[in-house]
Amino acid sequence: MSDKQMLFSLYLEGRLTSAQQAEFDALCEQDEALAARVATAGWVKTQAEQYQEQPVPSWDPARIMPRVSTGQRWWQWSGMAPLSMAMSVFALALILLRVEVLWQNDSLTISFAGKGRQMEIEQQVASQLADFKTQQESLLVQRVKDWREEQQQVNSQFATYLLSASRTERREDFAELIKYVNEQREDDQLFYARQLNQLQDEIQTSADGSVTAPIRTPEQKR
Amino acid sequence: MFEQTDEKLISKALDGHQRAWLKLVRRYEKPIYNYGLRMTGNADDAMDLMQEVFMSVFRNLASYRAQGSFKSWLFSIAHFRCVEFYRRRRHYQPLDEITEPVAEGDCVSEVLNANGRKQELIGAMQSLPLEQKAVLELKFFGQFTFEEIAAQLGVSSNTVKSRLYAALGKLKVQLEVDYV
Repeated sequence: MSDKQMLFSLYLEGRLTSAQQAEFDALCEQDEALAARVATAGWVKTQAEQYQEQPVPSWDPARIMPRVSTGQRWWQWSGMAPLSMAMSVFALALILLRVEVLWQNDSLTISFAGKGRQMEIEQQVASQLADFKTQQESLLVQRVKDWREEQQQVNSQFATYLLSASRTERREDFAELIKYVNEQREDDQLFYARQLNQLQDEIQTSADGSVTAPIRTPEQKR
Repeated sequence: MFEQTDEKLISKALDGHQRAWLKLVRRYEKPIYNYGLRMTGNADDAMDLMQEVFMSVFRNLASYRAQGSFKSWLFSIAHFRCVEFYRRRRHYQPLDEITEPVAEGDCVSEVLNANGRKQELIGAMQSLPLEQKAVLELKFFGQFTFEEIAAQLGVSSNTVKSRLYAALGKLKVQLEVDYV
C-alpha cells in the first residue's frame, strides 16, 4: 500500500497529525485522482449521514426459529458435549489415580492410590485385634478363676486326704500298739504260766524233797 | 437506561427465551435490512438476505464468544450471507468481477424514490464489485474501523484500505463528483 493510500486511510478515520495533514493537503493539490477520491469520500460520508433508513417490512422473526418457540431441551444444551468430555476425563482420572471414596464412621474420606483401602484394612485389623484382646482377656480371667477353683478343690481334697490318712495311720498305730501290748501280755501270760508251772513243778519237787529254784520276773528274764 | 445488553439477550435467547430473541432481532433488523438494501439494491432481496442472516445468527448463536461486539459479529455474518447471495446469482464469475445485480421488481431506486438524490449513492454503489461495495458499506454506513472491517471480511487491513480506495475511484466516475 502506498503512502498516499495510507494517508488517505488516516484521513478517513480522522487520525492525521498536523504534519501528515499538511503532507496530505499538498498531495491533494498535486494529485487530482486523490483529490477526487477525497471529494467522493466526503460526499459519500455526507450521504451516509443523511441516509434515511427504510422501515423493515412486516415479518415474523419467530417463524424462522421454531426451536426457540418450543424451548431448548436439556439434552440439546450446547454445553452438553464439553460437559460429557470433562466427565469422561474426570472418570479416567479417577480410575488412573485409583481414587476411593469411603463412608465410614459418619465421615466421608477421599483417598488416592489405594490408600483408603489400606487404611480400611488397617482399621479392620486394629478392630479385630481389639476384639481378640478383649476375648483373650476374658478367657484369661475365666481361666484364672477356674484355676483358683480347681486349686481350692485340690487343696480341699488334699487336706481331706491328709486328715483321712493321718487318722488311718493313727488307727493303725494304735492297733499295732494294742496288738503289741496284747502280744506282750500274751507273752507275759505265757511267762507267768510257765513260771507258775515251773513253780508248781518246784513246789511239787520240793514237796518231793528237791531243791527250790528262785522265781524270776519277766523283766529279769529278758 | 434499563436496556438489556446484547450479551444478556443472547444468553436468554440461548436458554429458550423467545422474547429475548425477538428483542435482539428487533434491535438489529433495521440496520441489517438497510444493509441488504444497499448491498443488493432490491427490497425483496434485502428482505430475503435479512431473514437468512438472522437464521444464520440463530444457528450460530451458541458459538458467539463475545470477543468482539455483537454488531460486528452480526455484520460479518451478513457479509458472508451476502457473498452467498451473489454466488447463487453468479455461479462461475469471480466475486471481484461481480458488478451490480440487475434490479428487478422493487428496485432500490423505486423503493428509495422518496429520498430523491440523497439516495443516488445507493444506486451508484450497485455498480461496484461486491468486495468493494462491502467495504464502502461497512466504512461509511456501518461506521466500522478498518481493523473491524478487516476482521469481518477475513482479510488484512491494508486490503480493506486498497479496496476502499479503488471503490471511491470507481464511484467518482459513476457520480462525476467535482472536487470542491
